[in-house]
Amino acid sequence: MKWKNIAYTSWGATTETEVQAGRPERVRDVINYVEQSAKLETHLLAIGACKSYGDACLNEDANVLLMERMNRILDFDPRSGEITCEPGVTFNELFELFLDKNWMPPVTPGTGYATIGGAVTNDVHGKNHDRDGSFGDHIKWIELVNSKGEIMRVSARKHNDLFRATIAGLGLTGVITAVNFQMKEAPTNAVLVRYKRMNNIKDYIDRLIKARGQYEFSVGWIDMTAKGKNLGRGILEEANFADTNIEYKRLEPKKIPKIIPGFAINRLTTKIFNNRYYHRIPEKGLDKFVPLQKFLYPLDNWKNWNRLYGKKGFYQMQCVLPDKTAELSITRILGACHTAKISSPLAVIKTMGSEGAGRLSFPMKGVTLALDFPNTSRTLNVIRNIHEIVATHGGRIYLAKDNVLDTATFRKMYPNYRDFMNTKDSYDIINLFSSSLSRRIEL
Amino acid sequence: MSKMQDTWLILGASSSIGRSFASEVAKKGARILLAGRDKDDLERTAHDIEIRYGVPVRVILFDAQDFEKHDLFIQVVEEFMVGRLNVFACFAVMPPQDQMNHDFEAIQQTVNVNYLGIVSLYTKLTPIFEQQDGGSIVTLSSVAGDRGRKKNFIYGSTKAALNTYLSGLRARLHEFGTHVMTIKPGFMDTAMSWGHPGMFLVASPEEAATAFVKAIKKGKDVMYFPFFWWGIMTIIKSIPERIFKKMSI
Ligand SMILES: Cc1cc2nc3c(=O)[nH]c(=O)nc-3n(C[C@H](O)[C@H](O)[C@H](O)COP(=O)(O)OP(=O)(O)OC[C@H]3O[C@@H](n4cnc5c(N)ncnc54)[C@H](O)[C@@H]3O)c2cc1C
Repeated sequence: MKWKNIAYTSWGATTETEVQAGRPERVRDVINYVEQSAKLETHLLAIGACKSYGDACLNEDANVLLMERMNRILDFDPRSGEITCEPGVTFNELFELFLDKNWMPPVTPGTGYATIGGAVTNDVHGKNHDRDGSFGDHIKWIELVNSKGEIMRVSARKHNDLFRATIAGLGLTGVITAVNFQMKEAPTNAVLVRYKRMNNIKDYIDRLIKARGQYEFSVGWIDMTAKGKNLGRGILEEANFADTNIEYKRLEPKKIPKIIPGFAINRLTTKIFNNRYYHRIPEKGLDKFVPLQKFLYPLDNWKNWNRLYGKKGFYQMQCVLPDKTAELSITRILGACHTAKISSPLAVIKTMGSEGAGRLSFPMKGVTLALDFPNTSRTLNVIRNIHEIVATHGGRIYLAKDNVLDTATFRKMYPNYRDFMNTKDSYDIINLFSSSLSRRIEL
Repeated sequence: MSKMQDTWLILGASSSIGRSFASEVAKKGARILLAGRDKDDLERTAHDIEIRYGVPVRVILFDAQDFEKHDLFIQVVEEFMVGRLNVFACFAVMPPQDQMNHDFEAIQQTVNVNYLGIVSLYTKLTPIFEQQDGGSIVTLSSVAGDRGRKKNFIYGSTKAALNTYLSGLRARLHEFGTHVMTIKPGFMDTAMSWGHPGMFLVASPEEAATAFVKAIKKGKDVMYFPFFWWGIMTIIKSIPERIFKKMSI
């Protein structure tokens, strides 16, 4: 099997990375690539669609496997909704194939371009976390190739330690070659969304916690430019399945042209945009039928919207905080952004229901906040400040979106890291599987 | 392809081109026979096509070099096929020329797989085509067969032999209405070409499969893909031998 020299970035596009890339088309190719890397003593990482924002999908100066060609559906039971597929299958594909049979992925991130492999290894969550948990909660078994080139099938009953290390395992336990999981029933292809204005952070969090689990899906947007008594205002979207289907055909996404200048998103444009976005919803709220995919993937209309942040790319910080400390700490986080004069139109708040199944799963019962930051000279400092706030208040930073966290803070946030490392060490003795992220936080 | 029920036999179905082509004809409702050596992998593709396109798919083990088993292989094909048989062959081996400059075993394997394997099988399939109304035999050859180049001439010569064979087979089956199509692809984005230096304008397997199906519909005899390779090869073929021998392309 041959390797090809490629350069690529993750979604945040702050750094370009050069690697030797293999592109397996079948399990046998994966084994071959694994054996070659082991022999060459070169670190290896399987990657999906590179929709991670930070360095989870990067492997500087080492080898990667592009899993895009392993994208077959291996089994599907239309009665029970149980599915087995290869890791390169995307969420968009699952919707295209199964929504008209009334099945959808059990949990989906905010982009349909992410792959099942990426969903497993980041244990992704969606807008239904309160009710349905994260992706790992729906997995029955995972097939992977370990660093000896052996095919293993792991589940809660067989190799439970490896199963739980692979869910949210950041690709560090092996190359996933198949996943079996339970799909979710989707009675129709649309949702009735109730849009509501939230006036400030206190009302917002009160409402989120009070309405937890009452709706099928729920997600909120925060106006990062609002200050004072309006701090944390925004629009909350609560949605249930519509009673009937609506006409919908997914359009090919538009591309952001290269000529858009890097300062397209700055404080002024953000302020104008946010103000409009907030006032779009009348004070008494608004009800609207929306196609399911449009509701779940609002940003996917623009294929490469990350370009709007310009050549230097951007950062995202996503944290989760326990219910008890959420209001205080989120107020502090927003305050830190104001002090540093940093804002962006993308700020998302949601509730989470429980811990995930993986040793390094991000979710916990609490409130999660995701903020985008243009890459300026002040950005890294703000993010470090936020990490400090999150750590002090018993929260966690989402590794799928991170490239800043340091080892000590990571360990504080993820107390199960030792279990994870023990399991990794026992199955991957030669430490073949590694990434830029794992080397940064010493996993 | 007409409205008539079609069965497509894909030889070398583990390759990305084989998979894409099988999916493309399955979309149009054809029954699919996937033939190749990696059974587990073919089963995966079979399930994928069944679930996505709702057509019957069957896997048959097939080794081009195992000539003695070709009779048995044809029997299984006949059992499964419904309606008209069509064939898409996309298997080949390409050991590096450096190796073949001294390694006879590698040469023999290349000739056996790329040339004899196809000839053996097509000879045994011919009676089916003589008896049925129409159908296509589509073979993936290569532009490498158009001229013997220093860098790739053992492989190239097997493809040249294959092209000559297919041209004769086309004439022989013409009276039975069989469509014999030779495809000469330039660069395609496959496992074989991945990581090769000097590639340009590579076509994806999906683009290739769509173009092949279109050409089959038009009844093309010989097809360069992507089309501009016809121009490139016309130039390469027109270089006089006394100059060509000094070139290291
Ligand atoms: C617009 C947008 C919205 C998002 N919204 C959410 C959200 O709501 N919730 C959420 O949880 N996340 C969200 N994300 C993050 C995203 O879902 C995760 O980063 C996800 O893991 C990306 O999947 P991917 O296929 O792009 O994987 P990559 O980013 O390519 O890789 C992610 C990880 O998966 C590993 N991996 C991939 N394939 C394999 C394999 N076959 N075997 C072993 N390891 C493998 C990689 O090694 C890496 O560690 C969002 C991202 C974007 C761009």
